[in-house]
Amino acid sequence: MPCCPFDLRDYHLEELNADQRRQVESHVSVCGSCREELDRLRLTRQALLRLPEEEMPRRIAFVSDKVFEPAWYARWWAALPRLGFALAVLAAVFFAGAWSERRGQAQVAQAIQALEARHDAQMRGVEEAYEMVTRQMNEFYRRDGEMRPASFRQ
Amino acid sequence: MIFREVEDRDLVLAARKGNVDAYNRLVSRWEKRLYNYLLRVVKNREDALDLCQETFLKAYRYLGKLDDVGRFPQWLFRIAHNEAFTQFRRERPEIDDEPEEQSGGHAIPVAGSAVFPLELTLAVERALEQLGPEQREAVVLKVYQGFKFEEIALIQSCPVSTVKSRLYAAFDQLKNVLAPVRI
Repeated sequence: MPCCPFDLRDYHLEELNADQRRQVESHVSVCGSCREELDRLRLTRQALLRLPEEEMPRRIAFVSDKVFEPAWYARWWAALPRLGFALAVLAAVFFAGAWSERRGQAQVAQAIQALEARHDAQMRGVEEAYEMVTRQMNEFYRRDGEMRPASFRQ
Repeated sequence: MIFREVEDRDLVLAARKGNVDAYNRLVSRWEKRLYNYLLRVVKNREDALDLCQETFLKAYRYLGKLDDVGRFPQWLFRIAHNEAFTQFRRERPEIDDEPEEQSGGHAIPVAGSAVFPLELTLAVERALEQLGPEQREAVVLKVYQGFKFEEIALIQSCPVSTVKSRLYAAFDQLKNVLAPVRI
């Protein structure tokens, strides 16, 4: 083996770079004893690789466990985007509700105003009717007084 | 391979934030390889499964301490290595890096002669058993898991030179058993 520029075991175990491998290969092509040594290493490796891999008797799996759960601050940090989204949704709902309430209040005020206006108009009508009736009655009494004899007049 | 690495990185980052599903996906990706690695190191199915579960549990617990999320596999195997060798030392305090006592030291004629697959499997298992635990682990990490010397050094917490000497010695021994010189 000392005649080889590099250790044949390093070559065989794929620990040499491309240039070193080429040097070994060129040496092995002309050196019978190194070729034989390399053949024995190859046979050894081939024999080792005949050992089959075994299947596991049972698979390993982990479930979430409080012991391994991240600390509260890590959970908060991880939950920050979700929390932000939830807050944004809440804010949107709140503002939408407030806007809708304000709009509702304005509509009620408008309706009350309309009712009051209608009521005022009706009251004006009643008052006008009352004044007209009063005027007619006064006129009637006035005419009635004129038609009576003077002794009945006051 | 690069694509897979990127995906592992994403899963590690998600798992770090407490995403258990992401971690379960990482587990399902690596459990079989890790189990087979542990099985070849500890040579017992129940122990390998227990150590596998323990490794994934520890990995989840300390995921935040992983500096380079792109090196999740090496880090995972390092945890598994620590778990396996802690158990080794607990059960057999005298353990060291020396190869195990060879049973008679006789070669099993394999290469060059016709053997049935089962015979070959048994021969390989026996040959691996004859190696010391850390030598065997280095072979498993190199041959079956495809790690580089530097990565194995990281997993075994030792210098690259130690990894090389473990692998060289292991291969010399395995070669004599699995590919003896034909006379």
